Amino acid sequence: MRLELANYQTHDVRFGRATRWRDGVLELNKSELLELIRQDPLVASADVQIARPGESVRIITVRDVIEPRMKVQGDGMAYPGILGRPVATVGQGRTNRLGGMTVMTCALSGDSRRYGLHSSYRPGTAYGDFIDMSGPGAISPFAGLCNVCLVIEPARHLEPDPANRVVQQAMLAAQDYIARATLEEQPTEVEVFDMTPKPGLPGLVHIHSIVSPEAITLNPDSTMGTAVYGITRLTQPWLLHPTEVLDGAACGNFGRWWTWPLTNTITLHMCRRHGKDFNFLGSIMVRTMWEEQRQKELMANRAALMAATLGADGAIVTPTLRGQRFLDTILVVQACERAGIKTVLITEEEDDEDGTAPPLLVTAPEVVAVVSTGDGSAPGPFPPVETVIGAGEIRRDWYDEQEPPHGRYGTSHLNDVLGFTRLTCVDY
Amino acid sequence: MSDRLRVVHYLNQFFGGIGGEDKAETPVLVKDGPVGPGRALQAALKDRGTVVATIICGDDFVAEREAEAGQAIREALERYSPDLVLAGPAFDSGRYGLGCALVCRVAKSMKIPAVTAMHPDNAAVITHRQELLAVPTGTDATQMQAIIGKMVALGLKVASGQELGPALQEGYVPHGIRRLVFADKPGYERALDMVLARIQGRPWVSEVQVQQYDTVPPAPPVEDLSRAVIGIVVSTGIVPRGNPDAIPGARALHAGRYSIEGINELSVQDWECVHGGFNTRILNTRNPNYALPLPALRQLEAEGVIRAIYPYFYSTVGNQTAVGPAREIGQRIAREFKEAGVTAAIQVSG
Repeated sequence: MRLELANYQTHDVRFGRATRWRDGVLELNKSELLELIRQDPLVASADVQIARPGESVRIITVRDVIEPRMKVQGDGMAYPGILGRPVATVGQGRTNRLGGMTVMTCALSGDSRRYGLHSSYRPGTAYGDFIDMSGPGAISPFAGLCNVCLVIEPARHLEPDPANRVVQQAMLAAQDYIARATLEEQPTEVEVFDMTPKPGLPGLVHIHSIVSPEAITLNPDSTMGTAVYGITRLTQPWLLHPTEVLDGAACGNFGRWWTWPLTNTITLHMCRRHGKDFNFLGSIMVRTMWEEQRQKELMANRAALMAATLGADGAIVTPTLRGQRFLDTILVVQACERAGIKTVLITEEEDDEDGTAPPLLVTAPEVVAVVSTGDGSAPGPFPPVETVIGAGEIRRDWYDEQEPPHGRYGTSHLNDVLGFTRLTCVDY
Repeated sequence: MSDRLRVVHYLNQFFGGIGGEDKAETPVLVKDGPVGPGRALQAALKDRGTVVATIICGDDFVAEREAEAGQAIREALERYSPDLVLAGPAFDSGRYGLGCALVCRVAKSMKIPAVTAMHPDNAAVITHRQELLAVPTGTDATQMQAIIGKMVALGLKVASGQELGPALQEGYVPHGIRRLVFADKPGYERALDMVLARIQGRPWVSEVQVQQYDTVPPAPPVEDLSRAVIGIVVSTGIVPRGNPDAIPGARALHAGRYSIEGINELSVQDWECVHGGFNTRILNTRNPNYALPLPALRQLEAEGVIRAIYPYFYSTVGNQTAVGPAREIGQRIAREFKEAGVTAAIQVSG
């Protein structure tokens, strides 16, 4: 596979009369974009706001984050398969991207009781589920980007899953609309990823765990998880070329595990080092939430066999936390090590409960090399802000100083399982 | 600090020159000045400190008569009032490790800084991890000189009241406490560095090392099921409809205790599942017994396969429950079951 990634690096986004990209500035015609989104009769209301680095802005109710991308040569469409988009194989030809900015959807979460899920909300817990764009709490990579926040309220009668479909539809419409602004313009830079393996280098794979929402929503076509070419079902592991991941072949959020970190951090970085430090042989997506231990073991074995068949010497394994999903990931590490593949697990840790609880929910003797992305807590402080962007009625206290999340009971500020932040824990 | 530090050193009977395993019953004794490895310690201290006394105790004595040994050690420390206590190194010797740990714990209770050295898998580390400041060692006593150098450096640092940094950086055995910091590179870069180092045979260090899971030895098998009283515990969140104890859908801190006396089958009218981690629709609209298999157990009871089912079951939600509360819930249930003569328990996990 060979993919050219033409970057239209964007250092500012401004509302204007037209929508165009020039000299690193995206001018955005707000009313035209909103008109496009409101064409969907299931959108009850929509708004667009811009959050820039350094601004006194807090973003809440974030549903998903993606970078605007568009295929200009080669088969398919960026973020393929979802909501009826073509499933033609992506990852070849040329893709335009707007680096330095995102489309960030904000929407209220649906009533999960409809899926038989009882609330896990605990009063008095600092959940840390917000993004600060400035100040000492601006520790996410999104704080360094121009975020086009799309605040969407789907029609009220919808169940959470179809409502999410409306939000995703709006996100993709907006990203397509924005990415078209790059046509006829000259990119800031063009990166060429020729993924042909070079002789003499070690081979690596990235094995990522993605949750299937099927067992939760009882809907085989559920949108409430990361889709591979639009598919979220509980299926055996998928082998993707890394350039397919760059084209958004794995897209969609599960909770606050968003799309952007997958396309813009670990995969992009590994593609950049391909052919220099190692050969990046493939991205393997392992579905989690299998019901039986033997099914979990089987999927782990299949993923390890895929990696071994590709000739992998090493694997970076990443989970989607927590509970049984983490167990699925540990089994992947175990299967890879048993297949002779040197494996490093990247994960967020559990609360250490003042030194009395182990950092990993479960482990195995084969789990010897782990990179910690912290325990979900954030140091803060998160001082008061002037503007809060988000869906629904915004409570007054969102403008106040926010308590730093502790990371206790599975809460997390950034849900970083891909190592996209510099947060980590060390032993004392 | 103007004057030299007063240092007390601890050794077992072997390193203290008393004798081998045959002298392991030797009670606590104290000698003035350095003994054996204490001379290397004195050399490493240079003019920063003086080994004023050496406490020596037999490995068996200290391991088997901890209270007595602890009292004698306390008296010795009171007598010499040291500024710093150094113990060992004990390497991988478990009883010697426990002796070093005892000295350090007594010193700590007297607010005297104390440093020991031992293998990270030494039984004393496993037992007293949070209380020890220990330089990690291998199993090879020929490393004595180098380790004593590290003990002295760490000892001088804590004796001067300086706050210690991370375990890896300062060179002590981790206490199991994790602190959030910012690394110099993002996680995926560190992961790639680590995997390439592993493949290419270069040194690497995992960022998660201490595991410290509880190991629970299983109870012996039930000898005669037909005489057994079976207790039921569920973490599937089955509760009387209305959830009288307000068991939350996740992060539970307590369990409910409910009677099933005279009930052969749970009905959706009277029972519900409040678990927040899986789809409960079928349990709550059709059949809650999937999450507490009462009919099957009642049948076994009727057939005489088991003698009886204990009339109360315990229920909580096993979703993101922290280890501490889970341990307390378990201990409370086990206590009641044991007192009530429950022979065996079935745990339905959720």
